Amino acid sequence: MARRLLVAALAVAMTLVPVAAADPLTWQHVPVPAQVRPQAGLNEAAATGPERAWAVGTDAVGRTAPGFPLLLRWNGTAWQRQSLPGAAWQGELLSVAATSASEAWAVGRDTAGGTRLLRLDASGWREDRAPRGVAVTKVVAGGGETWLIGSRDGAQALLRRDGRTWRDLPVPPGSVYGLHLLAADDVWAAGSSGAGATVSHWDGQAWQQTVVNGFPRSGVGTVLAVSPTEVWAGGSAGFIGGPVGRPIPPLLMRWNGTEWTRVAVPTDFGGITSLAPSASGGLGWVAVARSQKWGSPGGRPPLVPGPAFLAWDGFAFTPYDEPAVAGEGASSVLTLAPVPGAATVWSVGRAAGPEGTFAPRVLRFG
Amino acid sequence: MHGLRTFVACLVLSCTAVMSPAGAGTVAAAAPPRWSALPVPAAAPAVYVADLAARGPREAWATGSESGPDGPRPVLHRWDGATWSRDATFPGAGQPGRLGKVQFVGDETWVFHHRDGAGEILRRSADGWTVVPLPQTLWYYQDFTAVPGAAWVVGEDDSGLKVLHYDGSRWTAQRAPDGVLSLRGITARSATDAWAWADTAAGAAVLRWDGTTWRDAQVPLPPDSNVYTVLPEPSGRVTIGGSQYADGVNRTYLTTGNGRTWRTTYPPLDNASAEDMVRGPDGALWLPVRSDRAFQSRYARVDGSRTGFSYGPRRTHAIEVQPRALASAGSTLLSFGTVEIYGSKPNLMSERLGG
Repeated sequence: MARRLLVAALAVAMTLVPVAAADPLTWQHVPVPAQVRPQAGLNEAAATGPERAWAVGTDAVGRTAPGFPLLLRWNGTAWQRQSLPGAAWQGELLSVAATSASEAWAVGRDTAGGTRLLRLDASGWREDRAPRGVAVTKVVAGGGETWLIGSRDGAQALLRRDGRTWRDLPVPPGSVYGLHLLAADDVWAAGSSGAGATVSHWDGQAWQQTVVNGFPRSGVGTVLAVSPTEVWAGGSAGFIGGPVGRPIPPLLMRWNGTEWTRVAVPTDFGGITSLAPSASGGLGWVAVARSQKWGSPGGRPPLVPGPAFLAWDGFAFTPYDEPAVAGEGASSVLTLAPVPGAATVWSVGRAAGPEGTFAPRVLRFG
Repeated sequence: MHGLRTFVACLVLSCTAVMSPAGAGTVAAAAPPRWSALPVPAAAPAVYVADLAARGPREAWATGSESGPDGPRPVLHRWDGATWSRDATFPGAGQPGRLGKVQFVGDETWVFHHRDGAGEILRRSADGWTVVPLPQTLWYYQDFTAVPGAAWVVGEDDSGLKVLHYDGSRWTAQRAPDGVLSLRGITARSATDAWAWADTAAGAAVLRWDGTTWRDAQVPLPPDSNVYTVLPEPSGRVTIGGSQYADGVNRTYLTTGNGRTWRTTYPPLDNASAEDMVRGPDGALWLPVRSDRAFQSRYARVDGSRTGFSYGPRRTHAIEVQPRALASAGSTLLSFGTVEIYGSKPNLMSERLGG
């Protein structure tokens, strides 16, 4: 009898499991809190676990007036607006990075062009002294390291947190847009130079740069190092001439330990703006902003929307469309933030709003 | 000793009261007036605000256009001291066209009307609206002004610059000084005292009508400058607002004349257009400026060498509030313009300082 029950229970379970697995996972729209004033946009997010994530951007942006810095906190159930410390300032938060479950950095720029640096510790968020003379655009954390990307007097600058101060580091030729920090002596940088898209590696002493794509105006802005023999870099493939707004093909490059090769993606135009690891540490997701594909031959319009997200299973990409949001259009900015220890990924950015405006966009997979 | 201490304490207190810029009682009485929002009947987007003029605290008119199925249509709103209401009783209301400048001529209200490609003057008296036709059609109508006994319309036709003058019974064409290429605007203090700002081969110039002839008023404008407005006042003071291009940037200037000398200043207005500058009820110059905050308009107040700024009322989800025209209405300052609420097209708005 007990055996019969067990078999029956197993049968039921086997019936249920495939049903659950067959339920296709999709990207879901997650609303921002009502305290976020139009018009608003998000620039970046960082998650420290299923119940904590941070997203930064700006809100109350006028047609001509600058907005105010926006900091959102995910509490496991909903996004909430987090008040900023100190005196009110106008501008926007550009980047956020978590160094641990309870520590994070955010950088922003005020309307005077000054860098604003925020730090989260056990006592909460507080404003920290920004490195003098540097216009910081991005903060990156990983491998026990925290780095800043910015410019000083128009020249590229990279700074590394060293104890209580920020120390300048050498920079590779050209521009750096994205970093993947594995350790103090193992850092990958995505960027561009006059020669094309570049990926550089820092061994603690010097940069070794490779032009991964020499097409004019190509560049990569996001890099993900899975292992010494598997590094990915994404961006756009550049252009020669053409009208303003002409679509540009995406560029995804892969390093196999010996050489960089271009990897085909299932969309024809758009820019790869973010790469995110899977729960196992391999490449998991590729975000493509302004993704477009050729429509059917002779059809109108000639270009149709393409997938905004590409899931990589180690062999092939599975395309995922951005979910439709009532009254809003597609995203023009997509930045991925994987949730450590989970198969969940956040995407934050900026979507087309009504009447030529823009709106914050938060999506979640898993 | 105690008496001395008490005397010193009283002296300190009285000195504090005297040295304070405003005594405690005065502070309460002189609380600065605030901007408030005035409801305006909506028009059909896209809306355009052309002018605002007030005869007093209980009469003001705002003009412009709204979108119609066959192009812009004229829009006229009237302020009665308490509310804005739409006036659709004028000739041409509901038909293609647009309204321009508003002028008060005695007890009458005159409004420039672009209609079917031609210009005309709408004249409102106690008997209602009538039309003053122009003697000819111009290619474009640059500006219009009217005072008791005179009205001018300036623009261009196929022969070039035209200055049309109306003396109350007939129109004549007036001659501009040699070298004037075009007139940018015109305003009048009386039938024998009118001012116009012009482009000449040598740059911007200010012209003056003395009842007989238009002459160069010989105003020492800053080099490489444009004139946006001329504000002649009953006191004889004339204020000219414009923009000067220097070192790669434009900056707003004010040139003020007292009848004997001209003096130019550069208030920190961040290149705001002085086109809509008015003399406020407080005696200072007021002009709308680009707001650095969503949800609120912004106004500049220039009082001699001092320039200050104030914000309009907060408007929920208004991503752009653009005052287009100001007018003194008794002890209040009226503003008329557009507001864009997030998700909808810009529509009309009005604000009031004081009152």
